[in-house]
Amino acid sequence: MPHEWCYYMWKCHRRKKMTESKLDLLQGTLDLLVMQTLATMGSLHGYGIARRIEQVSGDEILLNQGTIYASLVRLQQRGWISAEWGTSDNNRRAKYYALSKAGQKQLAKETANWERLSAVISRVLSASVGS
Amino acid sequence: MSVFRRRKLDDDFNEELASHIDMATEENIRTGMSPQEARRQALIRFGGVEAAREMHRDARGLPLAENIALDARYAFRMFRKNPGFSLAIIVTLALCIGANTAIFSMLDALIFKPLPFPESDRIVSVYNQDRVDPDGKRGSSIPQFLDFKENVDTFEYLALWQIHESTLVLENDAFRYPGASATSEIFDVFGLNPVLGRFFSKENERTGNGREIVLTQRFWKSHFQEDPGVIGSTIQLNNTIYEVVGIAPEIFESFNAQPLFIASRRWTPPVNNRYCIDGVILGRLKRDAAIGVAAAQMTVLEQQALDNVSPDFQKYIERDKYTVGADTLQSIRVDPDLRLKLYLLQVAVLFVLLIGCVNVTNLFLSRSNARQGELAVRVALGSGRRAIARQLLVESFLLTGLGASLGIVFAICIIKTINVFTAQLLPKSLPFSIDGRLLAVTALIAILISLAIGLFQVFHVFGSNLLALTKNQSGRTSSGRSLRTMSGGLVVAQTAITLVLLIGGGLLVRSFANLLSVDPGFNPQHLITACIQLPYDYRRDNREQEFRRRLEDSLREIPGFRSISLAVTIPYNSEVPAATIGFTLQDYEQPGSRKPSQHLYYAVDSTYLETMQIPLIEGRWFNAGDTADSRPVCVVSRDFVRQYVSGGSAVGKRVAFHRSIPEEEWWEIVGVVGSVRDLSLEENQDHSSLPAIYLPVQQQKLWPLSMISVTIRSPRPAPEVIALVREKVKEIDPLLPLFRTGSMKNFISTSFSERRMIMVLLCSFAGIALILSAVGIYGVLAYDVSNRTHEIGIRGAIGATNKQIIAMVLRQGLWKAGIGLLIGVVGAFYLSRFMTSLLFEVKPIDPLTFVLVPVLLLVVAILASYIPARQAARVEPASSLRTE
Repeated sequence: MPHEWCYYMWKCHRRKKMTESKLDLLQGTLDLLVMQTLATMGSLHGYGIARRIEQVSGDEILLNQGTIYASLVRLQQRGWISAEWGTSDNNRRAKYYALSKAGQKQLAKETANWERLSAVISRVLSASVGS
Repeated sequence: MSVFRRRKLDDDFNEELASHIDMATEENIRTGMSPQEARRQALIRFGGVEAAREMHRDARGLPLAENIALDARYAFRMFRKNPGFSLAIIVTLALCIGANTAIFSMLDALIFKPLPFPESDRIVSVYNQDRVDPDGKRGSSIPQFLDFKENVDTFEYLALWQIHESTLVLENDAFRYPGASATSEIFDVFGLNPVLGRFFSKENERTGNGREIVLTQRFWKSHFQEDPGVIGSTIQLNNTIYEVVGIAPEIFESFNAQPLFIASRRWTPPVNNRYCIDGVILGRLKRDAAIGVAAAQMTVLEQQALDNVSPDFQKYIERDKYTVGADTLQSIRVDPDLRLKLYLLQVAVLFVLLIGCVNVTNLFLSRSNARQGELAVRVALGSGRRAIARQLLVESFLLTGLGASLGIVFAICIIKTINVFTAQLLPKSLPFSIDGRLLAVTALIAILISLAIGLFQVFHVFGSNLLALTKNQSGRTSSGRSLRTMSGGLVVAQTAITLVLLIGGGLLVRSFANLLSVDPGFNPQHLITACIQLPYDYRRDNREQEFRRRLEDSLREIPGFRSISLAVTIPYNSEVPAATIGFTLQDYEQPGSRKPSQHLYYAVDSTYLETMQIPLIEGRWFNAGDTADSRPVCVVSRDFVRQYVSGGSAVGKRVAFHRSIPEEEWWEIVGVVGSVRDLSLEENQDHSSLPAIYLPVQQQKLWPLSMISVTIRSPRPAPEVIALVREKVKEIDPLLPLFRTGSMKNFISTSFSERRMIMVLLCSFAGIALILSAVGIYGVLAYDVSNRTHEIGIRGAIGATNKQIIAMVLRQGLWKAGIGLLIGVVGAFYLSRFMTSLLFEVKPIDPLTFVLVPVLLLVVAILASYIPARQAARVEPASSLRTE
């Protein structure tokens, strides 16, 4: 029985994927997610970052993986991440990114901002629903 | 360059892309897909590859250099579309920056640039100073030099240096050239090495043998064609043979460009007494020695020497006030008078630059107003503030850069002209030129100006709300008030500065006019003079008198020579300037001040009066009866009588030049003549109006008879006269050169050259400032009018007459000019006192100048405002209302 249940859940999930729209990511928030990923995972290449974001968000984020790279360039220009060519575990050449000190500070700041913002918004929303 | 970089970045990204897709494909294969399917899915998950590439490129943005290049291209397009605007700015900046560079080149060469000698701050010049004596710093004597050389230990090298003209015999012809004589350590003081040969030998100096001469590089080039064989040859100098031992390098001329050669200095005992002036002591201090210590040591030695002077002499010198000091060579390079004049010119030209910048800023402001629309659209399309600011800065940078480059060309022309004129004035310096330092300074000025103008624009543009202005593209209502007041303020500033410059120029013009109108006291028309210096063997053999007689007789034979005079010292053209000497007058008590009364002392002959055509007022002039054996007589000038003879006549009174002469030998005044004004002495303003005493050549004892100043009055042209005199001199002695020849009028005019140059320069700057200000007023008003055609049309439509419209515009212009005039007059009041030393018989607050010049400026302002006023009046109400 769990087997079928899993199958059923999976099928619904797949339908969900096709019918419901996923949250579109704004530019800035993508940058934030990339930085957060690097903070937890350490040094990682572009593909790895994209996959990680997909996994952690439970596939709820609509992500054209290619958009990651524009974000990485922006972050590089602002000096929040650094890049270096290296070899992956499968002996493949890939560009690895890491969070810089300035990036860590920025991440902390933006996370705090985000949390404050979302707290305020949910307070306002719950207030209007309640009363 | 950026193209390659771009390709590299693209390739880089492509590699990253490929790596990403491969990794995704691999993961898909692991989940069980076939390789083709895996790859397809990977690409789908990735999203559009091309789109990713484009986003990557966009996010990268363009490198700064490429942005600036684009901005520059855009700027050039705008310049081509508004050629008048661009040209006005470039020409204005070129004039102002060029003039500044030219004047600064003079300042730099003379004052700022360190002397090119090694450790030049250790080179000093020694002077004597008696605080009681107003003459200030004096040179040194041979005994003093020897004393200091032996007993002062703070100097590494010490030398005695003196400039004088000498007669050189080259290829059997005699010439008179400026040269110098110096002791052997002179080149060590400057730390130089010879270009060829060697310098003076100390051995020869010690033994007193072998007179040596060193040529300057310039002389070697011009007269010896850089022939290395000149070393070892001999030259006859003032009847003595000197051996050429070496060539001095060109940088020696930075010290003094006048002498063409340096001869070794020799003296035979007995030397002059310690209080004569034999030259200037130059020294190089030891490495850790302080200049004050050296001065103190020398003062002590000097005061000790005063113990050995005769008590008579001691009365004249207050021992404590007699000091010896030293100046670094750099600080005395330019005398303070000339320094002031150069600073004045630099300040004036900086003012002109200021006015030019104001004009340029106004032009930019008025154009930026028209551009508000364009800029607003750019902002709306997403151009950041930084991009717009960058565009504005690049534009101002380009225009200023072009202006500065043209300015350098202009500066080179000005400098060439100045060099031609100052060849006479500043013979001590090398010709001015543009070198790396000047280019750097010009570049710096250009950068500062372009930054100022650019930032000004940026703040102005971002001060106003750009987006709101997208609606008012025509700009007719948006001539913001802030813009108007700013332009107006700038015009006021311009007018004020121009007025200050014009008043300065006006004062100098009045001084010069005064100078030209001074009555010289004699008749300079058709008067030609020349100088002869008889060499030492004439004095030794007592042939001086004979030469004079022979020359005079042979000159008298020439037809057309109306009168001839062979004097020793005359005004304007003498081997030595007329001396100022103290004297004692019978029945005249000095009014108690320690300063002895001074007068000018001329040694002349009996035909001097009629040759110079000086009026005889009382008594008689010298005649053939006044010889060396007869009673000593003298003649005084009218100024002398006015100052020193209170009642009665001066004729008959007696004068002495030395207190200790017995009364029988005092000189008797036999006549009074008109006063002569020698303006070549005008720099020491006291000296040009000092009273004069004339003594017969044969009777006076101060100057040797070997100095001859020939003066001839003749209607024949000057070159002819001079050639004839030269011929006659050659007949008597072929190796005697005639020098300092010319017409008296020329000499008088040359004595004004420096004043004239400063006046011309200052007036040109004032003139440029006037033109720029007029253009500025015109520009601001014209732009204003063109902005207000709509409003003027309405006024016309409701009945305003042409006159009223003209009056309205004029009022605007004159209002600003008026305030500027007021500020300018106040400024000139305050600043003109700095010019006092440059003025001649003109007060710094001269009423005539202070009234006429503002009136002139007002007239110009009216004219400048009138043209746009007329244009405003011509606006047709109907058509202007229609243009929408």
